[in-house]
Amino acid sequence: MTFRSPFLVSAHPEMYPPLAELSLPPPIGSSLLVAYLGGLGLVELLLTVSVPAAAGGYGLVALAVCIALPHMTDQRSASLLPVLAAIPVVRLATVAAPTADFAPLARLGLLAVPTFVAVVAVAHSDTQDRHLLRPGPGGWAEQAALPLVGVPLGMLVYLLGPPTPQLRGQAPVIAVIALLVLAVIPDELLFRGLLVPAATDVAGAAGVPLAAAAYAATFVAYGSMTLLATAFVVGLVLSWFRQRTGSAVGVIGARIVVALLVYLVLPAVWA
Amino acid sequence: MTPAVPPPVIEFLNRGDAQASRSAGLVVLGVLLIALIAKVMLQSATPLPRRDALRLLNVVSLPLLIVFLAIVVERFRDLS
Repeated sequence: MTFRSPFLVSAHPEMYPPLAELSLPPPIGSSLLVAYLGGLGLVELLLTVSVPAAAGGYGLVALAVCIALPHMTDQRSASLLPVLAAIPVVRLATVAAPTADFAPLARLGLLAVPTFVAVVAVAHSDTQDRHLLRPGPGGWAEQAALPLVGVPLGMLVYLLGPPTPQLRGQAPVIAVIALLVLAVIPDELLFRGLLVPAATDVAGAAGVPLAAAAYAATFVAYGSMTLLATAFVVGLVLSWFRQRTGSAVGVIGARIVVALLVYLVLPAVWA
Repeated sequence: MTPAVPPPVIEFLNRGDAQASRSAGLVVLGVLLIALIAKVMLQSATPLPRRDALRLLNVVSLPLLIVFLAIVVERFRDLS
């Protein structure tokens, strides 16, 4: 005689979804992401004390991410690691690249090169289809409208954290536009295009604020809570739209609009 | 919001502290060497390693290789 629980509802086994579908997002990826954010924030804070020490910190974080790979038991967590490794590598490049002789804007353009290489390497290592430069389900029309999001964001950034006037220098407008676009695209591809879908794969809806926090962490060394909060809000809005539209094209446009407004349009209007 | 080159880094670059920039360059070289050595060791390992391990090491080594080349070019330019 077998015991049969009264709470058991008899159903055909085929009615149950497979266990893999029922499983929650793997905890190892999300806890790794939180620990990583803590480490990255500490290294960014270290930047205010000693730049060479922070460079060492970035190197350690990048190598620690590599060491974590054998401990990743699922594909989603493993595909998060290249993005997590790329961020400290890009920050190390920012600190160590010999750009002292260049004007601030030219420096941003030059630093875009290692960032772009890192983005290409991450995209090449990615086994998931991230729809980086293809439109999402909403098509090109949705992506074309998305840069409008950059208008309120640009005004917010200009009000809360206006750029220093010497950044632009005496460069002609065309050169400023070209350098800003060049500097913004790889940054946006890394933090929104690649990090947001990888983070949401392992952390669910919490991936969007976690990705925004990783972006904001790169502003810790500015030593301003207002700027940090602004970076988080910009990151959060762009990450949400990236996740919502399923493509990085529109948010790249929005970010370019933010940069052009903050560095060219709004200073000219308010001057 | 622009890509982040924080004020401490700008100060560091403008100060032109040779000792400190050498330290940052050595960190780049160290991480690059570790990544390249790990990659060579993985490639020669049997059984063949996970492909994502090699690609992860590429993510670390390729951007740093560019920075390292830039540092070398700058040193040669300073020598001339």
